[in-house]
Amino acid sequence: MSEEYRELGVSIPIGPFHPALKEPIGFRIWVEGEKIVKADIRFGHNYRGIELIGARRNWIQILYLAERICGICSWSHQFPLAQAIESLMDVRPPDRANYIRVVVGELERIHSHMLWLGVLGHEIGFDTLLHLTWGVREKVMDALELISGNRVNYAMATIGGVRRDITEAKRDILLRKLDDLLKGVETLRDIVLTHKLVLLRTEGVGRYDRELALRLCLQGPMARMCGIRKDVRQDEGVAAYGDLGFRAIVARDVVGKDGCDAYSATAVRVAETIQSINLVRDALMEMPPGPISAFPKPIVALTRASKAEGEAIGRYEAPRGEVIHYVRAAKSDKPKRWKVRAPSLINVYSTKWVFPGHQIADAVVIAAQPDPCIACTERALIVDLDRGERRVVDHAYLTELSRRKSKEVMGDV
Amino acid sequence: MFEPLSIILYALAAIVFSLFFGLLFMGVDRKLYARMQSRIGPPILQPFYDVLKLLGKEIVRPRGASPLYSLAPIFHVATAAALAAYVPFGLKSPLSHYGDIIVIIYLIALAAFAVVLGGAASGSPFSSVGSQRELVLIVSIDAPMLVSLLTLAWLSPGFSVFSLEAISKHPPLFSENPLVRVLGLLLLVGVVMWYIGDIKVGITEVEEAETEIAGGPLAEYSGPNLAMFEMGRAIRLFVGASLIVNLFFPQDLSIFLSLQGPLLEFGNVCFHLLKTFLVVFLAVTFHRTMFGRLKISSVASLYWKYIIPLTLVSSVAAIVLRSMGVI
Amino acid sequence: MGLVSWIVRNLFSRPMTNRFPKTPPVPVPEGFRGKLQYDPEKCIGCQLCVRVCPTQTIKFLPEEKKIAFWVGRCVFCSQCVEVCPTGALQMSKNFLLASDDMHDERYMGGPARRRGMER
Ligand code: SF4
Ligand code: SF4
Repeated sequence: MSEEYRELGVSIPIGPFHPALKEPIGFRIWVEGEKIVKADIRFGHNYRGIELIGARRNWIQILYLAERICGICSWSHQFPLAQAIESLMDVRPPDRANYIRVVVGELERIHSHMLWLGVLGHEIGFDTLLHLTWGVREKVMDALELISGNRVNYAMATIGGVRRDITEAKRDILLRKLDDLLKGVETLRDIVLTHKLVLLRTEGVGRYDRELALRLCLQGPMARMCGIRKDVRQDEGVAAYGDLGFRAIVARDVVGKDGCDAYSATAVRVAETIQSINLVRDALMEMPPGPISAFPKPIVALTRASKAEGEAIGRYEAPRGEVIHYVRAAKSDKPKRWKVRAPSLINVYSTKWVFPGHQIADAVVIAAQPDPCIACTERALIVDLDRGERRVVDHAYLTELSRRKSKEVMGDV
Repeated sequence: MFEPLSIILYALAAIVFSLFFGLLFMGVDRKLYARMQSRIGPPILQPFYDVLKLLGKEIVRPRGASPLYSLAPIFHVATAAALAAYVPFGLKSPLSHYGDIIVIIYLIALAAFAVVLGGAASGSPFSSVGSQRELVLIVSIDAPMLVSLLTLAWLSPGFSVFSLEAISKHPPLFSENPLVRVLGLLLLVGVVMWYIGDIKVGITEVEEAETEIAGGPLAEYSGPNLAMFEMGRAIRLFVGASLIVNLFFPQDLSIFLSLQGPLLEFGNVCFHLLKTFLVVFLAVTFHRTMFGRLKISSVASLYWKYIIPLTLVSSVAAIVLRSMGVI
Repeated sequence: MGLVSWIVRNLFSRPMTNRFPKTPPVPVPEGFRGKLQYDPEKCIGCQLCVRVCPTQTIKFLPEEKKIAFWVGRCVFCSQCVEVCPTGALQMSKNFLLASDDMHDERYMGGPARRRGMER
């Protein structure tokens, strides 16, 4: 800790392990009484070296590795990777595959946003909201299980399309489930957006402004709560979003003004959940017949991909914002380089600017506001704030750190 | 009337009684809370298991904790126990001759101070923030309680001593005079808000705030020390509700049934427990299902802007009306 | 429906939780991806499954020209099932795979069950 920080007085660690956090990340806030005067964020507690592991696996294998970057949005990493590989090979997936991609992607968004809403309830001590929301959320999980055969890791995307079709029978069950779900979500929306306590705890908390949001390049719902209509689905028309006439929601569409605060973030996410339900329904109804993949067999895709050369990116709007996957290929069945840029990296870091001036009680709301996904965020680069240097952490360095730590601990005993 | 020894035995029995029903109500509260959220919830006896298990664990003292760290839990549970001996539970309380209602108030505040002390002594940043919050809370909730009690005493015809019995004889909510009934209702709000602030659930759960400050003053406590805080909390949960029942709904069974002797006394205790449970259900379980936690600043402004003026207004009204001879 | 009516209704209805293992598990839908099943008779030893498995669960046994696997490493992606030309690999609906013994029989697949599988 540098001198400048030490002078600031009482510091409260929120993390790396803290009841408010579901994943390890280190927030440290300096307080005067209840007021936060400075905040600092440390990443790197959940680094797994996925990109390196990916470089040792072939094009088909890394699809499932990408799926496991994040515990919640498995589709949001698998899909842009598949997209990137497709554009390397210059292949277009068939229309039906594009519609199924929308269905899976939007179902995932619904479950992620509802999970966030529950977490918000938990953070403000409103556990009833948590349990009711997650009770409704089970319906989405069932829907995803029905389509893909698993609740969280759907394994749906593949190079050139999707892996499983949605049959007529499944479509009918899905439509019925969606009706139930819509009713539940609408009830929740009416409760959450008017509940006095939620208002007291979220309004004006974690307030950005439009300029700050633009300067920090906020992503996803965090940008949209500031009135920036930015969404890869709308801007790029990936998958079938273009056909479905998708238009992103910003806070003023829901609550009349761009509050840039946690309340706007809540409103945007709840409205997006309902929008997603409607998108899924539209996609299911308008789905054209045809094949679901450009390649008859995955092994053919793998062979073709092994001949590709060059570099490509895949973009997708994950529930938290824009995900970018970059791949470089050199006529091999393995990627030469695979790089992932997850939205939480930007969104979580941006909270550093909004912590000061708030109360300690707001800290958890601010930390939760971007829906931080630490597992997505952790990449190989550590920015050492104390010394302001950047350094890539390698195995030798980590071992060295670990040894040093052991020595310290031993010295204490 | 009572020999000292029998008073002591009676007081011990009252303490065990309050502890038992406090823990039981905590269990029922957790169960119903869970059911309202569509969960199964813990077994009803879970608080008993918790306390027993904690009592059997080793004592861990954080490095840098001051000696007060180990004294605070004892202090807390002792005050809570004394409290249990002062508040009637359908029968006369064991120590009813040795103090009035002010003693009860200060015992309750003392119990809360023990938590502050413990938190401040444990030397963790979470605990010290929690202790500060607890202090703010004590300052906020005790004022409306004191004003309400004074007014209640003032409202009861024979305004002589601040004794619980005197107030219980003339519950304002059931007076013939409609003005007194209205005043009684306002005071009930004040006292219930005090109760909510005292046991810290729902909107006033600021001091432990698990997701913010990881348990506040109790963050560093474990084993028997934590068990003592838990027992103290159980007693306060029961005694607080019991106090509300005594102040506002003191009727005994004799208004419904014509029972005699020990049967009547037994019936009274059961009836009292039922009323207490209803208070706990509405003020604790239902309330914490409906709301989450406020910020400490909102809690303070809730009490200072609304609850304290409310009780003050009813107090002034009571004095004015009384001097005008309307009530 | 407001919050109050919702929670009061919850109070008088059954909890959502399924008391597994006291009650049977929630049924899984068609196409569920559970434990891998292997039929050595059908296997022609083409090794495609070995090539695509992202977790390197599957080992090729050169003498028998068959495969063996240890389900503990499997992530149920079903990619091997998709590439297998003869349908020797299938996914079952069995997901009750928790055990405190990593050498549990349920985890082993293939003719030479344990060979080289425990890492
Ligand atoms: S299901 Fe996936 S992880 Fe499991 S053995 Fe098959 S390919 Fe490997
Ligand atoms: S893909 Fe099928 S046939 Fe080929 S080795 Fe694997 S199990 Fe045997």
